[in-house]
Amino acid sequence: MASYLDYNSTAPLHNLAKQEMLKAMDIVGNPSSSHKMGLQARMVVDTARYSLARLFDIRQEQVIFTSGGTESNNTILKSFKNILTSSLEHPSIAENAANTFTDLADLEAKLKTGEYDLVSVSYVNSETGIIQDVKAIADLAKQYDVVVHTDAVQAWGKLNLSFNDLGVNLMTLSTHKIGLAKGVGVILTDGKANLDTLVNGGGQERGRRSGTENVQALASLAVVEDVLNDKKDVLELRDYLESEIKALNHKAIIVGEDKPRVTNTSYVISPGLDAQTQVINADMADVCISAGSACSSGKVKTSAVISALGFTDELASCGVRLSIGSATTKEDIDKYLQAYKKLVERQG
Amino acid sequence: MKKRQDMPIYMDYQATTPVDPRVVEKMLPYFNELFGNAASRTHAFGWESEEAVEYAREQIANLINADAKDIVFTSGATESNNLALKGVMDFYKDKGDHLITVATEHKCVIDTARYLKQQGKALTVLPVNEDGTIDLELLESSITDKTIVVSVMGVNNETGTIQDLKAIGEICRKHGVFFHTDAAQAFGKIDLDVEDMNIDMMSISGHKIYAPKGIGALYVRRKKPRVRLTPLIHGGGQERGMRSGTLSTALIVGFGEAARLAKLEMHEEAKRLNELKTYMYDKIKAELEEVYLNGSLTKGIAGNLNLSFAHIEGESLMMAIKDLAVSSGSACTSTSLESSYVLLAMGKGDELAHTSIRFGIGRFTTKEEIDHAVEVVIREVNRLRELSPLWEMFKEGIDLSTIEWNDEHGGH
Repeated sequence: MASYLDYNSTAPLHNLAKQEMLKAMDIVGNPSSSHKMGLQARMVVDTARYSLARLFDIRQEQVIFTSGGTESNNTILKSFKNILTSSLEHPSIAENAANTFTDLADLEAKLKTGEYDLVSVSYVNSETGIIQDVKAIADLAKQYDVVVHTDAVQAWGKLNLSFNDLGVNLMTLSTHKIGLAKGVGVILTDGKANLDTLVNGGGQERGRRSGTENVQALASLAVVEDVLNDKKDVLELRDYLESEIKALNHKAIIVGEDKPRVTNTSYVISPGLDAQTQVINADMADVCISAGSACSSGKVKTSAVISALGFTDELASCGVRLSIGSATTKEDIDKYLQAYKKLVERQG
Repeated sequence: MKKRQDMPIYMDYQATTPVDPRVVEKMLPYFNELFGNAASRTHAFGWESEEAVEYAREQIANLINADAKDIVFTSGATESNNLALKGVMDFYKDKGDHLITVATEHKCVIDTARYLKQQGKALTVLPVNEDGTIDLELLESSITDKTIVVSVMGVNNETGTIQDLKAIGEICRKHGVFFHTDAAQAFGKIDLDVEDMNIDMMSISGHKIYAPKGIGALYVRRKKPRVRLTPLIHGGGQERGMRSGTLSTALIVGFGEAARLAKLEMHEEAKRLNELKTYMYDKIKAELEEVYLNGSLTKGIAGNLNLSFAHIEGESLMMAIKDLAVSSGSACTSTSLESSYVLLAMGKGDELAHTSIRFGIGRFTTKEEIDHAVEVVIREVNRLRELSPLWEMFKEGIDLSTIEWNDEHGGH
């Protein structure tokens, strides 16, 4: 069995979630149908919504389902005209926004111009695991009456996530990153911002997102609390991984090491070892790692996020992402370290 | 499918279909063993997912004689329809601003067209004949030099009417406009050939062909002519940049398997369903008068029998035949009680439109179920008519259309 160190790309489906999905395979109806089989399917959708509302202590109408985090982000960002975002964003945000801010002072200066109607920041950066101070950003934006959105896809399940405490108006979530089904995205809203409809039609999701609901995948949300509670703390493993890497290669840089980070992600730059070589080397040893965010990992190009953090293109091209999860074992880590050691030794 | 004692007989195959157990079987490994992100090109989990996705893509393309590269996965036919129409109308905005569609399209096409009209586009909505088909001459004369796209559904979701896609495609190609078809009800049920029919874009749904919900596709022609569109969803650049977002591998695998099975079985299945439909229609017609077929037995799809029962209340009938999971109108609007706009567009009066029931017959429907359904329908229609003053008046020979009702402006 290969060792999987790419949890930020996607997580294996939790067994409880799988069971719920399999049960839902036997549900026949369309949630919009008024007969008994339709009601059965409706129950699955309602349960999913209820489970999330309960988890976040919000009302059920604050939960909007979409097809994934990317659609959620698009729905939100396309509803606004002038968007301010950070430089640490997933392509689904970066592609939709033109202006970035560097720090809180810069944000405030830009908010003062009155030109912006949305501030959108990811809570946790997918490549480095760096946590942004969304609460401070939200507090500031509110003073200027600007709507705040956070893409919390990589934060969910990795830190204590509270919609209400964070003070944002809108939040994006994706189920497959925490071990639930692929194909479900979520928008949490406090109801203050008007969202345009990206997908028109039958009027599902209170007219906010049409299309027959993804019943079988939504079924996995019934166990969201159990799945989250089942998450193991991986900090010790991550620290072990990073300290061993530094011991093997004193030139190695852990990006964001001095910044607040989630406990499962290490972005490691090994100067002189290009990312592609490292990825292939790991693959030969049956270890799955990534050269960056999965969406762009097909293309071999340097990460915009890493460049934004002040690394030269040359260094950025030598970075790989190691992201671990509940099922990761010390053996998985050691397998990677062994392969890495050989590569470093070969480099001399 | 085993019939559960407490559950009605499922006759709503146009709203959605049960997942075929063979489809579930194929999906199983992709839940928590081969769980990779298909966009992860750096490791085996990603490759295996990608391979599975590409195999599914081929199965879907095979069913419509398309190149697999022209299939773009989406979350369902609703998104596909939105992407197709909003996408081309935006991309070609400098070339023209006109789209043509049909009054009986699915709500998501109608809604999208209305949205585009609000955005300043010119919209022509074609009427339909009594059998639900469009007038081809009227279509041709509606095309202007500003027309970008014609959108006509393959099979109507309420009545099962099949449009002459080949003829429509010919007209569109002749005038150099794109032809989009919403094939949610046609894909896997009737023969579709994007080359022969000159189809440039086709919306497809998984859950109408015994795959799970939440997965669909848009066929987008890449060559002769190349269709380009502005994406609805930007991001990681998956699906040739036309549709970003992590692909739902397990759902796609299920969708592909459902398409593969459809290719193997659809002709035989259609023959069986057609026999059941004709059998059901003949039985009901033999026992009940004043029953009207919405659509056409010959031009309709095999699994759809839409009937209006005159002189009874539609809601009462729905309540009375609760043992059958049927629909009055399409699922998206069936929780509201307004008359079907599809039937109204076909020239059915408000009263007949209001008492229409769609009986959906599908892969797991048995002859016994049809017999039971026929029995329930005949019994309950007779019972309701006995209670109905309208029926009494009709039997006395009073022409109901001449009566002026006191509460004409109230009620409803």
